[in-house]
Amino acid sequence: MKPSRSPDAKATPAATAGGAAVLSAAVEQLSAAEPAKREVPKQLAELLEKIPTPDAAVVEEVFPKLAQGGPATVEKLIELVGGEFGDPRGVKPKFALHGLVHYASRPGADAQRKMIAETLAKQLAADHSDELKAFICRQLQLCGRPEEVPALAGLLASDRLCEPATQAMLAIGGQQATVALRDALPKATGRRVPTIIKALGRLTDRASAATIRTAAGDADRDVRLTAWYALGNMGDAASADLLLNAAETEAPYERTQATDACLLLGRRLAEAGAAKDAEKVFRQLLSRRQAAEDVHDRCAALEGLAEAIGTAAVDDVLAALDSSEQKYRHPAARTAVDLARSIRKNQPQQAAKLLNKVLDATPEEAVRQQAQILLGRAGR
Amino acid sequence: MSADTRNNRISRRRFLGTTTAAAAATIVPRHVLGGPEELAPSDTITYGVIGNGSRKDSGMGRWKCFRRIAVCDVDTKRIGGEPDNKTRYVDFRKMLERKDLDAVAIGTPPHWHALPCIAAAQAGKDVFCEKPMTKFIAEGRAVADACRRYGAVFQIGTFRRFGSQSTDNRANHKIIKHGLIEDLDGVVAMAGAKNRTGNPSLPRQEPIPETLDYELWLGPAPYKPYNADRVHYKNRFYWDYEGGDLTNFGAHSLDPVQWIYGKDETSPVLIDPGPRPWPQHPDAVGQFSWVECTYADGLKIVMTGGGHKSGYDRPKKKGSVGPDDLDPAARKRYDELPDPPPLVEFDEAVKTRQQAGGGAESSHRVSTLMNLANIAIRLGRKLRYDPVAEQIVGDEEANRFVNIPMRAPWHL
Repeated sequence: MKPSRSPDAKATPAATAGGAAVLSAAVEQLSAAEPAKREVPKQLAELLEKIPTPDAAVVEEVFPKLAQGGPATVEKLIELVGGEFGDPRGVKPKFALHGLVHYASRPGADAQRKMIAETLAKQLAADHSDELKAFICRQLQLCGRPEEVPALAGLLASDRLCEPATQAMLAIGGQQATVALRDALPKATGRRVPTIIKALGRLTDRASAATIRTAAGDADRDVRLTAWYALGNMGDAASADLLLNAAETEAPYERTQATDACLLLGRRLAEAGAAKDAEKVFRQLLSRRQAAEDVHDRCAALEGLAEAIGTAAVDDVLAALDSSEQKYRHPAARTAVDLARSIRKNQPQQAAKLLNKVLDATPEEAVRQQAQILLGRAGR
Repeated sequence: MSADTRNNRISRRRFLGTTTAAAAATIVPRHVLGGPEELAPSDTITYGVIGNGSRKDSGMGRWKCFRRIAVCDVDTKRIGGEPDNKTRYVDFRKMLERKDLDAVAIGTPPHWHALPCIAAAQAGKDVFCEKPMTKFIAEGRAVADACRRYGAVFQIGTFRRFGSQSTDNRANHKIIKHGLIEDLDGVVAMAGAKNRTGNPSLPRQEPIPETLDYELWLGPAPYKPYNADRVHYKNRFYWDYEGGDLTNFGAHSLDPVQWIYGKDETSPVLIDPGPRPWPQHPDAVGQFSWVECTYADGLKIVMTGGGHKSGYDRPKKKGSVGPDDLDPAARKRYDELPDPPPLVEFDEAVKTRQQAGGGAESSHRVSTLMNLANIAIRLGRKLRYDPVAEQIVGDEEANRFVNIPMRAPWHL
């Protein structure tokens, strides 16, 4: 881009040590002009021409000035980025604005980051194109904080902008983002439904569980599958039967996704200290997945069970180590080593029993070495 | 062979499960028994390709025991005919429903590596995946966890690790992996890239080719308007889909180095992006000079960007050790410890249900190394990393690159 100099910028002094304040004043002066007459002030144009640069000294010259230019400079850069992909005039401003987001988000620069995030968020209500607003959302995905959630939530009703706004809110996380997404879910339609359900699942919002349970039987496969994931990831114990039933579906891909949601639920329950609830889920899967073609599900359920109930799973793991199915026995040997490692301080005999069995169960040298080393450390 | 015949073929696992009792009483023709030029069905492992690009077998052709029975690509130009959901697929989820499929080879762009890897493991398939394994760190953790959980065999599509098994390298690996030496200050310089860049002014281009399902091509990546330069290899130079030549070629260089230096189960704690053009464009990958990654034991792995003038200029010290470098106590421990287990290649691993060399966990750590380097390059600052929590320390923005939200309905 070859920036031209505005007549209004003639009175602007050259950038000096106090150039940042001058830059801000120049940008504000230009921004007050008619949109058609808006141009790049000379100081800003000079800074834009210097980047990107391999010279760290130039970076340290340009970005403090851009940051000190304040909201007016950020708004000017947004305007210069423009709303159309590939506009060559927007390339340097895009480098600058994106670099400014990174620069101001460095540790210890929160005042700068706050100014930029606030300015970006305000622009989401301006009369910009959807593409430009999506770009702003992606910058807020990096530098936004809960203060920017209301502005982002205002885009959740837009088919084009719901996704980038939700992604920014997911990156920000926290209660404000969760509540805003929860409130938006009943009003959502079309592709916005799985977008918001998935986000609430990732944010583990159990307050949404009842609403999401109703989506678990939706006619839209994407809605159904994201609902299963969400209920599993939020560790909603009340959804256990729903998910276990879903895992019995005949449709092969859906069956794998529902099964994975069950496993996820079991792990989340175990993490929350609900070992009994977790055990129920894993044992149900173990008993329902006895066919040879389901051996991978049994592997996963056994691993989950061992992690959830520890020593109480030793007999299950020992039985798996006796299995005639190589595809079950060998992964079980890895589970056995992990279980032995976790219980060996308190239950050394049980751990040794597992490890000795591992040596009979698998030819896998890496697993056998781990067992031998653990046995050596246990003095057996 | 007709599509129906292929579709009805009994997989190796089902064959083993259903024919053992009958085998003794049956006269079996030679082509079934196998011979110098014939593989018995029991030795044949079926696979499908997801992302059927220029390498039609995604590298699986090196093993005779694998037989491709299905191809899948979001661009129907690349699947050799109209999609029929029998042997030619557009949607990998449909292909994974085939029960006669033992394994998949994944040759999609890297933003589409993690999800098919995980879905394949969930469906009980083994996975051979082109490098780099994943586009961001949390994806790699999810793939490694899924493969371990479901007992899937995984191997990454680079083989230099297998060629790095010299006596000296194995000793080096054993010493460092078991922490038998302190104050290691080795530096490994890696020329890892052609350093090609993306186009920062990529315009909207219409129409989207009729053969391409662009929505599915984007998948978990943010929506961006179509341009031919975004897809079909050139995607490598846009941050949403890959990490430039650093991740494109870096995997080849770093996979054996990570093994030799005993770092398959950990990651660096300090990442210094060195001098580099900055800022990076938000969409298009730019150049880099070098990135220095330091592990907790002091070992440094350095990635240099080929083709850039500014090379790595820090002093290079001895980077390898042998048993003779150890003090007596460490030497005694060295002699007691088992030697590194042999690396098993994918074909053998699938048949014997062992983990392959270049498995999911080590490949995740290689990807982490490269992804951390790219985060530091993009942010233009040093990073501190916790290899256990797999989080960047004290830098919230940097951590937002560790687990990037995906577009729905996709999720980890």
